[in-house]
Formats: sequence, C-alpha cells, structure tokens
Amino acid sequence: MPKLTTSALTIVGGVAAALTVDHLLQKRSVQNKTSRERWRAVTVLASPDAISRDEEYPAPLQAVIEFLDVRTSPAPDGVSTELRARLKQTKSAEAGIRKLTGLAPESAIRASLRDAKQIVETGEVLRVLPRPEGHRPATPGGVLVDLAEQRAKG
Amino acid sequence: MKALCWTGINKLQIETVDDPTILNDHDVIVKVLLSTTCGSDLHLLGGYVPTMRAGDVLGHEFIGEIVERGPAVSKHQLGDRVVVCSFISCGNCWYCQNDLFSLCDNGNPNPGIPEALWGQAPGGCYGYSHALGGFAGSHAEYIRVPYADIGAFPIPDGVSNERAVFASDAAPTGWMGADLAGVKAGDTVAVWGAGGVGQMAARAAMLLGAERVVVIDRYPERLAQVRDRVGAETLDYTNTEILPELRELTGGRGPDVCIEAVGMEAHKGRIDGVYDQIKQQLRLETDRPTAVREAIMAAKKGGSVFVLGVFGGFVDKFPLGAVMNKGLTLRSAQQHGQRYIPQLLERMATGELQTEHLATHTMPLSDAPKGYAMFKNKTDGCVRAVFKP
Repeated sequence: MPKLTTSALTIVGGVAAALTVDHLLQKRSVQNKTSRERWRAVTVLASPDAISRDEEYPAPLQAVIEFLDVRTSPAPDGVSTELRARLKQTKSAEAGIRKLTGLAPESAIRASLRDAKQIVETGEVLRVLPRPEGHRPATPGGVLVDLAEQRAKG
Repeated sequence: MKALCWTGINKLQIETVDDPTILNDHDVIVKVLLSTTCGSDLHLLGGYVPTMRAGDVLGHEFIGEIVERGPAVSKHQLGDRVVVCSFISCGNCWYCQNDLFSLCDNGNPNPGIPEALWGQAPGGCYGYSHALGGFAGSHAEYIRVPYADIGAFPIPDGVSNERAVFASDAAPTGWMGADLAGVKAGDTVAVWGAGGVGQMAARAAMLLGAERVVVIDRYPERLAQVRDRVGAETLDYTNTEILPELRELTGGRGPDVCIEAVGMEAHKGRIDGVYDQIKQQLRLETDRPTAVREAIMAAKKGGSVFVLGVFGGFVDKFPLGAVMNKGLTLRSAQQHGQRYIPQLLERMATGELQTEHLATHTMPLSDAPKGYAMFKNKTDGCVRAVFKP
C-alpha cells in the first residue's frame, strides 16, 4: 500500500475515533441531567399575570399542578413569558401523574404546557377529532400513524 | 357527505364520510365550491410523506360558502363566499403576530410528530397528513375551518370562483417566495417549475419590479402559459443547458434571485437526476433536490435562493459550499398566506393577477381519482385539476 494512502487512512481513522469518543463523552454529559430533572417549557405571548391569576393556572396545567414544580419568567423579547414545569422530585408525583393522565410523566407535562399556552393565547384548545374520514383498515403503517397521533402532544 | 380519500400509495377513492361539525368556538363549516389539486399532494399520493393514514381526506386549496359558524366567529356571516388559507394559524401566537403564519404554535394538534422529524412543529394544514395536524381536507362537500376569523377571507364581488380558488395557496405561496427572497426593481429572477406555484412566483416577481423573469420547466403547455398568461420568459431544460444559458442571459453574473418551485420529486434527465431517483427509491435519501442544487449553483454571488417546493426529510449532495462561498441567502417556508391573501384578492379584483388559466381541467368531485391521474401524469396538458363537489 503506498505510504500516502496509509497515512491518509491513519488520519481518517484517528478523526473517526476522536469523534466517537467525543460523542460518547457528550452523551454521558447529557445523561447527567435525568429526564425527571429536566424542565419542559413553552413560551407564551402574554404577561405572567395572564398565565397565572391568583396562583391559578389554565385548566390543563392546573389539573396536574399537584405533581409539578411550575415557574414563569419573562422571555428575552420583553413581551412573552417562559412557562416551565417539571415533575416534583418525589416517587408519588410520577405515579400520580401517570394514574391521572394515563401518559408518561414527560408527555403529560408537555401536553399540559401546550394546552395551557393555547388557552392563554387563543381561549381554547384546538381539537381535530372527530373528523370526517373514510374506511380505516388496520394496516401496520396505519396502526403506527394512529399511535403517533395518540402521543403527538407529548 | 362524499369525499376523496387516500387509501394507499397511488390509490384514491370517493367514499361516504361523516359531515364535519363545529369543534371549537372559532370554527366555521364551509360548503366547498371549488377545490384544486396541488403539486404537493403528489408527495402524499406517492407515499413520500409517511404520516398518511388510509381514509384521510385530501385537499388543501379551496373556496366555499359559510354554512355554519361557531360563537366566537365575528368577521363572517352565513352565506359569505370565502377563500381559505391552506395553512391553519391561530393569529395570536408570537409567530402569527410576526406575520410568520405557517409557523403558528397553536395550529397543529399533533406537534410531537413534526418535532421528531424537524425539531419544531409548523402550523396545521388541511388534508396534509397527520404530521401537519391530521385535518380533513377540502376534496369534500363540506369542510371544517378552525380560526375562521384568521384564515378565511371574503372574496370580492367580481372575482370568479375559478380565479379566487388559487388565492388559497398557489398565489400566496408564489408571492411569498418572491417577497421573502427580496425581489426588487431591476432584478433578474429565475424560477424553477412552471406549475401553479412557479407561475405565481414569476408573476409576483414581475409585479414586485423584476426587470427580467425566466421560468424553467420541460412541459410545453406550461411554458406556453408562462409566456402567454404570465408574461415571463421560458427555458426548456430538456433542450438547453440551464446554467450556461442563465449566465449568458445575465452577463455572466447569474440571477439575483432564484426561486425553486418543484419540491421533493424533481425530474431531471441528467446523471444527477438519475442518481437522486436511485437514492430515493433505495430510501438512502427521502427527497430529490435536483432543482434546488441547480438554483444554488445558478444564483449570482451575494444573491438569494428561496425554496418553495415541499421537502420532507433529507437530501444528498447539497451544495453547501456554494451557499457559503458565494455568500448566498437561503430561505424557505410553507406559505404565510394570511399575510398576503387580502392584497392578492385586491390584485385579482383589478385584473393585475389572473389565475384561472391554471384550472385546465374542472370536473365533478366524483371524477377526482381520474383528475389526480391526469394531474400526476400531466396528460391532456393538465396543469391543475379542479373539483366541484
């Protein structure tokens, strides 16, 4: 094998190894923050007062509030508000939100934040069902789309 | 009611489905008067958008008459003849308030699907897969229109149905491409694709002051429409080399603005087109970006490229080096129709913007499967098949 080709392969191999190690280190770093610890957030085009009145949040968020830590803070644009929530760091919070919503905690939090934002911004939660639709055969692809849609808010 | 349903890849069928109902206070129910095919439907039809479900009602570009309205609707009365923007937007979120309506935070009830695909979710769209909300489409007798005060617009008296229907999507999409690409007086503009959207982009560029507008395609009847109805120049890519031709036309500079109005199923006889066909069929890339590549390579240094064609996933051999080293501005968007439809209806009323020639084949909804076959295969000079429920 020519010397130049060997050198090139060595360089490519080295770069690939470095990238792999870097990726693994980044992954470990990301995993340091567990999903349970992470805050989920939406930015609402409204003032903090419009989001929480007398410590009462819009109904979809208020319904699960006992399981959550919730915070609001002004967004950098000076007009919007960042609304954040995460699961309370207790075992009962996870079980409670699962039982109440039937969803994984992360999905339940995301859905409640999105719906709360919609209520503040538009007054109601946009619905799509029931919709006009033709015959729905139970094909494998169709089942996957149905599953994706059922989880599409979370 | 009767509706055109997608039943599988390249399969369509007229079915009897439930009538739509008011689900939110800001809804109206519209009796569809005209609903047109759109090139982007072909991506759904051909299975290139994976979140379609057998039984989905197709169609997103339409006009109709309001027959029922929710209690929160204030701008419309029963009996109003309206054109409805294909994208569903709330009008109140940050994106809508900043005229970026297709990026609406609240118009898509299924945001998790596009977030998995693209990182963030755009708004919803009628009849355009479950990734864009799973809304029933307009190839039906009736359709539910959410956020009606934001997305439905009265059609001025004197504007025909056949003209107004293209204010729903093709005309605002084309206009947006020319506007957001920054077309200005004295520019030379090249448009890839002479379908409805490409023709509207060309017309918009002319009305925005472009000195010279050139449209590229291969179908003689479409290129003839561009010359005769839009007033732009044409190039047939099957009998001329586009890049040297454009350089020759522009004194070696290249067009100031290049607008791609083709999308993920671009055709090209050359080696790069064959390459993309093979890679897409092997699912090694999801979209064929042949026209985007050419637009980027053609654009003048410091120029801009706007991608109007619909893309869903990933492409190969994207000339990022040309974008960077030529200092190009690359923009794209689904249409922010609510921003443009009022002025386009005014231009339609004055005759400045004419669109009815696009409706080459108007037929009853019951013939819609045949209409889509004609539209897909471009038979009988079909530019758009338009359905009357």
